[in-house]
Amino acid sequence: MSQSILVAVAVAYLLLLFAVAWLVERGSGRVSRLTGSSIVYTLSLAVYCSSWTFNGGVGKASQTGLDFLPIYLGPTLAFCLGPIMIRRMLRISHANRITSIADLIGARFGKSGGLAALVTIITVIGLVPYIALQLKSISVGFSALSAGFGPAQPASEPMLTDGALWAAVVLTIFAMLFGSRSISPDEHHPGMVVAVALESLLKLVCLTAIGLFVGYGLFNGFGDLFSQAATIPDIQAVFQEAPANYGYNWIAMTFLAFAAIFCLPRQFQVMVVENTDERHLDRALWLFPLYLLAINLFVLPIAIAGRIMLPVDTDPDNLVLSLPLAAGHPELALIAFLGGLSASASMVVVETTALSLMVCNDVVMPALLRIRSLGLENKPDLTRLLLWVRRLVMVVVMALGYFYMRHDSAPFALVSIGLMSFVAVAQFAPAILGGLFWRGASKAGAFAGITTGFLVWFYTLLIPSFSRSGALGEEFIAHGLFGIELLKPYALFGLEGLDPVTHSTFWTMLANIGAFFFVSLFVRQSPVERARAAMFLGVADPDEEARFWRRTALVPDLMSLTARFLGREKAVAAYASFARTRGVDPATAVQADAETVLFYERLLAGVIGAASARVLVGSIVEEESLGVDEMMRILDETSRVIEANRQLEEKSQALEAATTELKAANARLQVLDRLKDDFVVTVNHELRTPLASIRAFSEILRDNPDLPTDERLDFLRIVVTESERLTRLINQLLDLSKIEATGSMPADKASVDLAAVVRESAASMQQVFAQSRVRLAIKIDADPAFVVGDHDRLVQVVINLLGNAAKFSPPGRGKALLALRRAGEHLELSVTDNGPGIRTEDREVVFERFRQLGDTMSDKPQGAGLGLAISQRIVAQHGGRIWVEGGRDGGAVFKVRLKAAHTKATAAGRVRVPAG
Amino acid sequence: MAASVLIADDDASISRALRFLMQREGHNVRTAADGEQALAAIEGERPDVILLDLMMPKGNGYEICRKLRADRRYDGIRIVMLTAKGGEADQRVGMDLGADAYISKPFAIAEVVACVRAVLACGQERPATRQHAARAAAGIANP
Amino acid sequence: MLRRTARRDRMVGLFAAGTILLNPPILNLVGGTLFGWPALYLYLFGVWGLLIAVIGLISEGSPGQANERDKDSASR
Repeated sequence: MSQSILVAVAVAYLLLLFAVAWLVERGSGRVSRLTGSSIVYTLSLAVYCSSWTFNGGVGKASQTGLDFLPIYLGPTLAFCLGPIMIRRMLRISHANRITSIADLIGARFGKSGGLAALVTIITVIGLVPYIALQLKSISVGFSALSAGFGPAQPASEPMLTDGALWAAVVLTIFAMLFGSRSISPDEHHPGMVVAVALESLLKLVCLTAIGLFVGYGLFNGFGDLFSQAATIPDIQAVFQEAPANYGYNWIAMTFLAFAAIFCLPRQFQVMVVENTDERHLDRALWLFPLYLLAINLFVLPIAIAGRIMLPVDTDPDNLVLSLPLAAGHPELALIAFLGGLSASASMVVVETTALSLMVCNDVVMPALLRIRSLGLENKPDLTRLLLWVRRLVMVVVMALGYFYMRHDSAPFALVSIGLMSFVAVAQFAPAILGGLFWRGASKAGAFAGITTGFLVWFYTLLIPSFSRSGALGEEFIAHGLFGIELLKPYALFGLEGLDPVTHSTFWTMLANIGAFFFVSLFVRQSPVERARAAMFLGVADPDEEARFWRRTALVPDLMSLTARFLGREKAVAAYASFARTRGVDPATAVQADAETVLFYERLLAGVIGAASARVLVGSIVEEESLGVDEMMRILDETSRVIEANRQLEEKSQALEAATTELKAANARLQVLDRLKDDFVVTVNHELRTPLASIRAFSEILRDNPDLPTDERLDFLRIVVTESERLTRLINQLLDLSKIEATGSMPADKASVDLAAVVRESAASMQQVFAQSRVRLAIKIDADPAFVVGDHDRLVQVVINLLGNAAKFSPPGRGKALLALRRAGEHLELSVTDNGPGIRTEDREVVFERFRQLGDTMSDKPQGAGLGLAISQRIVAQHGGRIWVEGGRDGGAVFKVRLKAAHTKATAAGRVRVPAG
Repeated sequence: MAASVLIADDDASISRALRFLMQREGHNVRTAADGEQALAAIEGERPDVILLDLMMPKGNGYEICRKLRADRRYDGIRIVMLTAKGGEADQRVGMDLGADAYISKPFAIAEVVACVRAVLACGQERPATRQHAARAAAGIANP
Repeated sequence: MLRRTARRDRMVGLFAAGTILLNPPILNLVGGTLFGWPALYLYLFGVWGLLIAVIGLISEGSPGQANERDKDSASR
């Protein structure tokens, strides 16, 4: 394939990315709507899969089998902890406008500028090889694809025709255009993110295409591929036996990848800084691991195919290109090249953007601001300076990467260089995790941990890598520093048998975590650190930060300071919206309180980093830092508030339950209220009805003196009957109200013999039964039967019940039975009739006032429907129970159960409050 | 002018008093002790006036009133509501349902007599006027 | 509140299970071939896929739990 076509395709592809990014940034049409999607967010996270995945993974697989996989299993495991770890990072970063990993660590440990600078420098040193690796991969792919694909060595090419150089230039421009387009406090780069997402999609499609081509184009499916591999002992050994070296090595790589997913600057950039909606994370939690799985699905088959089909001396990192070329499919090779290019390009662009932010905010700007002679404090507009510093940093980083690549084109495989960088950035993991979850983690501890970890890395990994490529000589590796065997960089203190990366991971982490913990435990935190720690651990609300410093300043001062870095327009707009939320008129406010100062500081922090922002704001505010005691008091108070809040949340559930109960009670009350209304209406009706008869007949008698005597007497009789009915009703109402007024106590308390009550009542009802032609039998099994209570009231109950029996039993063949017996500690009185009985569903309601069976007022009985209600209340006052059952022959059985009096617990003491 | 009067009241005494009064006015009187009986009586022979108690078992006065007013066959029947509730709201409901007059218990016999006369006198006039007339008559008669 | 905690606890449990299943020494127990495919390849991708599926189930929640998740986010 001719070089010019290749260049044209590559350039066309990059232009397409430019176009997409530009459309998104311009905010036009459908393209810009992509920015707010969880899919785009997930795909942008896949910037994790650099050319290392694309080419290096296959290369490694072809040499050692499946042990490329931990690099992708680690992030999957990290995402299991996403709801805890990543979410907290997101929240804290957004609340404090943190825009880089250096900022995060600096901000956590007392807004320390020094720590942020240290992190930045380590990151740059650690990542330059990684960027170099991407350029190298582009360059190698370019050489392999261009005409002839002879044994091209990128380092031997003249610089001008080196594809890597042009790639570096184009990618730098890309990064400059979209990674440092303008200054904004949230540092969002939607165009870059969408372009990266697009590239991620392309990577996946390309690798899958090659995988399918290998499986079904070169072999008869993957089964065929694997069975062919099984026949070659060399290959079989690599792919089918679980090699013994999957031990520490595998675990170390899993750990490194776990750390890398949140320590790598580019991952922090896409995962935290570019995140526009926290809910996207929920989706990405499983979608991103799924992407990783999908892109790795065909890596092993491709690697095996390469081993089977290609000559042994083929560059393993180039298998993805070599396979289709060897099979005579240059167009597939081109696709593979574009996939690799995508992988490299996205990684380089995002990484340099993130690095430029870090270097600019945490190293260059603090330094420049400190040099008084530059007079930066007095410059009105620093936004252009900021932008150009960032662009310059991008160029420098890219140049470093390029020259590292040209220098270090040594036999290092892609994966090894990548892993070296992983170990470097993993040094931040203890500080970050400790900072997020351990309140005691201190600035000194973080300093100690990161520094020692980095030094050990430097010694056990970076220096030997130079010696390997000839700069320092093999002597150092073979015999250690100054010939001391214990200091051999790949076998420190005699630790043999591990590969360099695993070895280094072990020692760096031991040193790092050890130093971090011990120093944190033994060096006291400053008040500022404690405050920050509290905020990071969610013990204190981020917005409470204002309370820790009594800072005041003039709004115009703050405004002009911010405007210099952010541009006047944006600064004014940001303050206006802030003022609106606080209900302050932005035009008139002059004195800035602590909260306003904090707002400005955070605004600035988004642009130049937390540490610089603190220094700058500190230069113009009057600050009165709180003493330790006061600080601790506020913190404790805040902790208490938060604890109280937590308890409150727990209680709110109980409260909810209580509310439900209350609602039910209220409903019951409403029913009672309605019953009361019904009662009043019914009383009204019951009083008016006999009154109406009395009045009507009285008037008739008055107006018609000539009525026949018979009729006259008849009418008079009605008047008398109705008067009696009225009297009875009034008496009963009075009874009822008296009982309800006395509440739980019977009016008169004495020892009463129920047997006597029964006899007395029966005697007085004899006449009624005779009239109704109902036979009444009496059966007394307990005699005497004492209860504590009111004799007259108990007689009233029995008479009421007997009255009902007489009324409802069929005249002529009616039979009623009044019985009294002992039931354990109770006495039970029952009245049985052989009337129509009472339906089961009515057995409760018959005791309600005016409740008569049948519809409403089916017939006008002797009473007014109050008899049972009164009886029920009397019995309840005596601590007893009254209820009705169905009789054996269809009638009703009313039963009253009262406590016998011979025990000490008197009836009065165990009273049931009447329900109505 | 003899009219056919149906007295629907579950209270025997009141029913008796009303029957006496209506008979003395010269009307033909039938009585019903509950809602079902009342409807059966209306089906059997169409009355000119119904003295209708509001609270009765097996179909109260409201229901009967609603049924009658919904049925074209019973268009000309006058309805005088009798109630022992005596609430303003009940009265309005009764009127809305199409009763011609409304008398609360206890009542003066003159009131009942005047009221029945008034509703009978209204003949075929429009309901609104009938109501008005009935109310006016009742108002005069009411002490 | 309780739901959120339960969800987080489940994820931590998943992390522990994944860490054990996808690392030596458990890993080294798998070897040879299964239906002609390398057993380790099938094992790794199988466990991995399962892990992802469970993460998905927990973080997306079943349709019935969707409301609770909405409530969660509303109360933030």
